[in-house]
Amino acid sequence: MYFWQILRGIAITIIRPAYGLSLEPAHYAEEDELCPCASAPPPKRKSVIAVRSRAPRGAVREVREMLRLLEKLPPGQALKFLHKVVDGICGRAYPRYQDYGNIWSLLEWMEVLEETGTYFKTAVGKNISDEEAAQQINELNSSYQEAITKCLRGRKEEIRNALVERVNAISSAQLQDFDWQLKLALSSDKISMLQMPLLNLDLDVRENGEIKPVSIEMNKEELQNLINSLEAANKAVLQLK
Amino acid sequence: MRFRFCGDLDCPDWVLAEISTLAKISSVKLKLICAQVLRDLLGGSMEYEKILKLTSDAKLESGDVKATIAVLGFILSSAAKHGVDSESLSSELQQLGLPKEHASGLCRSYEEKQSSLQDSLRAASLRLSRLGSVRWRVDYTLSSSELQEVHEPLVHLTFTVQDGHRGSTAAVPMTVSADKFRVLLAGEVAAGVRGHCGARAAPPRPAPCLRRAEAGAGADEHAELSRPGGPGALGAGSNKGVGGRCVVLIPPADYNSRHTPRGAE
Repeated sequence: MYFWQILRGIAITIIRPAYGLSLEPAHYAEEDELCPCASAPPPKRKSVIAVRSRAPRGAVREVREMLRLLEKLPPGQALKFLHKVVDGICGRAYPRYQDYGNIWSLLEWMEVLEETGTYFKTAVGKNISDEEAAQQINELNSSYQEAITKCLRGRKEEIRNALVERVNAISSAQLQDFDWQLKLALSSDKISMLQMPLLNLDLDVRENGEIKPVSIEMNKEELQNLINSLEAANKAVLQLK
Repeated sequence: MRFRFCGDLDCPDWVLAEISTLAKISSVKLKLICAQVLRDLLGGSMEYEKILKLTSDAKLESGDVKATIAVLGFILSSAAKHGVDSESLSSELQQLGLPKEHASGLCRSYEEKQSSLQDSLRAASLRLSRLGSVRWRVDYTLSSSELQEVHEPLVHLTFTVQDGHRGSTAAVPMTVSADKFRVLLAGEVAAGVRGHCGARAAPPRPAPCLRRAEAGAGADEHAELSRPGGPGALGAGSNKGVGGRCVVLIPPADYNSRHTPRGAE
């Protein structure tokens, strides 16, 4: 993962001068507009930025790039590739470069991954209508257009859930995972017939990107207390929905 | 010779030796000392002056007084530990050489306090950690940089966990998304979270959740130990991969009867 991030960092720095600004995805444009230091770049860049910031928000430039790169892919593979990208957004495995190395160069690979990912995320995140989403890719060959639309429509809900997950991940500690075990303690050094059910609740809490395991052992009363509290919270959650 | 109140083992030599010290005290006074020792075992405090007064006319040295307290403590706690009834305890103490009046007096005080003694031993048994208070808050997220319209509840939880032995408490705060929260509490996996495999592949089965765990804790309290999973582990739940996999490591007792595998029908 680290390697991938570093690689991407390198790739972006390479892409910037090599391809010029027209290749950069939309969010870089936004950053430039917001950042005060971007108002005084070298003259050559400035003119490009000026042209760019007048362009409609998003996607035409970005999509054109995706179009060029995505069309290198044999049409039959497009849907599979797009689904893999969405898998990556949803926290599963991204497609691997080794499977597509004969189609794209490494730089193009970075680009196409980033662009397709951004397209799906913006389409869902900004709640763009189906027509508008289709319009953004209307320069593509129709079979690719169809594949993208199909993929987007099919997995919209899943992408939304992934984005909600990312929104929730903003807080400093989140519950990542949990396991529980119900055990019957039979005997102890204090008493030979203990017969006490104990619940072990293991929580994986993600704190600043690191997983911190928390283990709580509860007897029946403590578990009952926990469940009562959770039920009360659940009532509040259900009222909101 | 093996004794039930020693856990079907030999009686320790020092106990054997101090039985004769107990015999020096009158049976009435022994019963009063017993009451003091029981108080100590149940978490109260012993009144040492009273014990000294009670042992003064038997002309016991301070070492003997200590030994008396220790041996009474051993007999009472060990008998409660192994769940020996007072009659057996009385006959075993007589076999060890304690006079009959002494033994029956001691056993009468033991009989009165046996269940509370066992309760306090049960409570003092090893615990890894304890759950103190649970505090919660439910937020409603309206919008964010990632997603324009979120409209999802978010649950904040803070557990106060007591370390079993040292007694230090630690607060564990965390946020739980509404979907995960539902899985934790009720084991319901929302359709969107299930992913590809969950909805199609898995036959409906009770998902592992705390509510089921609680049902298990209640039902299995006096359960037979000869269950398929073996004693000591009644059930387990896992949330590994909310994306569509729910693992019941050892199914609860009623699992098989309620969910016959397809092939078996």
